[in-house]
Amino acid sequence: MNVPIGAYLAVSLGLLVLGLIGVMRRRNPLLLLLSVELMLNAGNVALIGFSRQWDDPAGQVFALVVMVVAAAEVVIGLGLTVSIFRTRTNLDVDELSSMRG
Amino acid sequence: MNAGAALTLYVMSAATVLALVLAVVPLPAAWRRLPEWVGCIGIVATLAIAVVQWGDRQVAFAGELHIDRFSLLLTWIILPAALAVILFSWGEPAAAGRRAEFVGLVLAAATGMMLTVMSGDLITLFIGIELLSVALYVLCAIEVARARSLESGIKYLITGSIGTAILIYGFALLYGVTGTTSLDGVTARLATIDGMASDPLLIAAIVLIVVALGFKASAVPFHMWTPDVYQGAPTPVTAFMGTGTKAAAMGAFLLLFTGATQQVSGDWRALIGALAVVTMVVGNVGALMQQNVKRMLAWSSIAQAGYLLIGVAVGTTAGAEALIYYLFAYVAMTLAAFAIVILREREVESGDTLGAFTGFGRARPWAGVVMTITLLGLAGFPPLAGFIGKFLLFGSAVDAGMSWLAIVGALASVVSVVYYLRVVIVMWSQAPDGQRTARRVRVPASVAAVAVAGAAAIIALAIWAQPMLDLCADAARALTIP
Repeated sequence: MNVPIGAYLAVSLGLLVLGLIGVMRRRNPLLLLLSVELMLNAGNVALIGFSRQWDDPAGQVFALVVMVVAAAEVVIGLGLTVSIFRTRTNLDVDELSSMRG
Repeated sequence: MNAGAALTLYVMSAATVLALVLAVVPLPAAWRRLPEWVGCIGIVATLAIAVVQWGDRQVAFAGELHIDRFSLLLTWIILPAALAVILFSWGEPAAAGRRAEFVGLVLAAATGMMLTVMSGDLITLFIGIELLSVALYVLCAIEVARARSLESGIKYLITGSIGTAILIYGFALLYGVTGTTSLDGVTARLATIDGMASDPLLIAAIVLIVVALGFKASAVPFHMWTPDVYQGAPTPVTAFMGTGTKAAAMGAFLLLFTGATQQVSGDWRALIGALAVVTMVVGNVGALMQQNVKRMLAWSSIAQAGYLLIGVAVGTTAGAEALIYYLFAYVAMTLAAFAIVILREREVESGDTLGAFTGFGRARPWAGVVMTITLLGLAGFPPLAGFIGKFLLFGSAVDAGMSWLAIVGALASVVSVVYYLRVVIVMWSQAPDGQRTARRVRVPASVAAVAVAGAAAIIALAIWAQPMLDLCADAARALTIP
């Protein structure tokens, strides 16, 4: 089966745009993290598509590295969200505004 | 293949792991300083190795790492910054009980910064940037009981991971255009293919990478997180973000643009130039408004990122040389300034506000002198190192036919004099406020040492500018000629 590179790029661009919209519209830190994950995986799809196009394994290695890093980021993000949740009951990043200017 | 070339990274990683292990081992009271000592000794040992290794490029792990004059010189910037941060937090009341984690995370972030500037491959570059970012997300939020520290951490995490996602997409497109992740491979590929310069995929890749590194270097318009994160994070961590992260991000800019994609510099020179202009203007105007010194330094670090970006935008080795010299000066000045802010914070409640500095120069003349030298240096007064660095950066812009960058830079520097001198005037013109100085504490020797060393470095960089510039020129040449 031969999937053209254009198809890979279309899917990854769609994921990237979805993630960007999510980052801009969502206010809950959990959903923000989810949207960032979408954007990271958009990069992964593109990497794997190009890896097939060039018949070069480096792109797939890169995608694996990205997955590990994304997991690490989510762990930190969830940890921070839980710590914040302990100090307040309502989760909304717009209320995290004790500093302004 | 020469795995020994990466010895600096092994030592740093070993020190990181050791410090983190100490975090879970119950230490007897007499040994409570052990994590800090592990950190200091690890950093000093690594710095010694980095000095001895100075020389032509050595390659480790099949080209994944390049240990050359460029990466080693930037390591000389990153490691003293990390050492200063550990000294800042020496005996810091807020970090009590979490000293080992603090030191371990600082070492991990420093390792990530070194990995970034040593990388010879997009994958290593990405891992380096992420290692430093993830460690700093946690460092920002390390005072878990303080709401502002947590707020700073989550804000940095969210904006930082958006930057990461954009960086990955940019790297993916660059890989798609060139079919290789190796930086040397990218250069070779761009040199062989005609008509590559107008490839829309390549231009998209460049734009995305510039945006993502702009997030990390806090360039306008990707700077909105900087003032909040800098103000909310513990001050030693802020100092680290302002120095080490900036050095690593500028190193990544130089590796990817002045180094790897030099062939298509027509595609990115105007783009990065525009970013530098907006950053200088918005950063300096933003700093004018601030009443909090920590926040003012955050805006000033945005403005300084603009000056530094001039060195990337010109795309020449002269620009890279000026940038590296200015990085040394900038890091020395920023560390000294934050040392004084930390001193004041230990003395009085809300010691980071402008009001807290009223009469500070008269109350503690040596600290006042250090802060004055530092702020004059940041404003670019001759003959200090900050002036020489700016002069070289603007000069490289004129030589590269981008005089508009030099003009905006010079005007922005004039504006910056207002807010830097405001602190100096507040420190010296008024008598110390009796109520504020009532709670005099003993000056922590480690913080004072960093302040004095920073001020001495600003003067030394100006006196021995020529030998220093020779080193920077060697480093800049190593970017393009392996």
